[in-house]
Amino acid sequence: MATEQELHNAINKYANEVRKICFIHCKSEADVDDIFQNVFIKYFERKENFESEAHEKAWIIRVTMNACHDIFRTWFYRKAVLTDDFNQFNIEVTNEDGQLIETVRKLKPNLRNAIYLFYYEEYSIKEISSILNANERTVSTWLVRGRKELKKMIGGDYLEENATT
Amino acid sequence: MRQLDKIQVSEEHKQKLYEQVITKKARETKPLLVLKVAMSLMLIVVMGGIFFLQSPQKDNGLILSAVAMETEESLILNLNSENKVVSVEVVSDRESSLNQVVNVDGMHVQQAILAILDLPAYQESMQGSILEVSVYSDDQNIEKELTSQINDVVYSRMQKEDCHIQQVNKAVFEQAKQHHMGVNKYMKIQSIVEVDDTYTLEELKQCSQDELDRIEKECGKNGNGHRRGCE
Repeated sequence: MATEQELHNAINKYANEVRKICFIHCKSEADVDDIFQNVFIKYFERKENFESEAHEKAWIIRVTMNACHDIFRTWFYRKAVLTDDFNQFNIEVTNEDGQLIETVRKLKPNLRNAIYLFYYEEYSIKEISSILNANERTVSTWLVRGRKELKKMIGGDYLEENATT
Repeated sequence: MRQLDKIQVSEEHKQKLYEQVITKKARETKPLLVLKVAMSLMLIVVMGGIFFLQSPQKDNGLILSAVAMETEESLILNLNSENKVVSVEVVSDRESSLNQVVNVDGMHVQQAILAILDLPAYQESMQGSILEVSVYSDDQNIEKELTSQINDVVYSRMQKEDCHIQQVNKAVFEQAKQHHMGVNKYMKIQSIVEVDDTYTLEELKQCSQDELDRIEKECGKNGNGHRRGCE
């Protein structure tokens, strides 16, 4: 189990990361708080040591995404309306980047994760396959489909296509 | 998607989150801890109980048996499970010097009896009277063995007509002690009072062993209602 000091350090280091993933997935601020707690309780309870900082970060991302999916699976959540309160997150929706982010949030969870990890976190397909516990070809397919969906919704090419080939 | 860089968690929020995680974890751990402690205590009590029931003799400070050596004064040797002397009590309605001279704590009962019989002060108190030895034990097996050991040691030093050994129960021992009397004297008085209810325990308490023997004999001859008392 992690020590209280390690937990404190992890919160300082990864809280922003967790909040970004929550923002991509969640529909309300209350969910963000729940996920925050679940992720860091799991971190606190974890018995094995991390091999490296990169391993630790990848673990945090995977656990956060899974926690988001768990919430998303509930009937109540699926029927809830996606929050459009961007002010609290300081995201400017009037520009292209803001619109892209808003649209990514509307993608299916797997496509959303793949796009986020590939374009924002700049992980390779191999790394994403490891984080999401999926086949590399599947990750490539998610990226292609995600980009197509975005193009259909926004109407332009905001993301570089050759990055996935 | 660079605007996601703007998403930050304030230091205050991080601290709050840290406290929430610690508190939640403590709340989850506490009932588990209480349960573990309760289980451990239960285990200790059960194991302790089993240990105590299986080997009560292991506690050498525990008084399990007692031997009363009685002439005009009564000397009680309290024994542990190994028949070693834990403490000595002198039961007498008059002042006794035996308390100061008898020092047999920690000795085996046979050694202790020999040491006492060899004491000049004890030999003096024995003069002209029969030694009455009463034995009791909480453990029946020990009681038989103890009586046999006492028989061996007493008869190695004394003639059969000068001593008498008997097994008694704990209640008699306790009652005799309460009335500040030797066990054998108390039993004699009880036997007289049973036959002749005109005698009282307090009255007969003043009599010597010889006088009690005489009254007992008279009661046996004359039946109920005979009344003479000690002189």
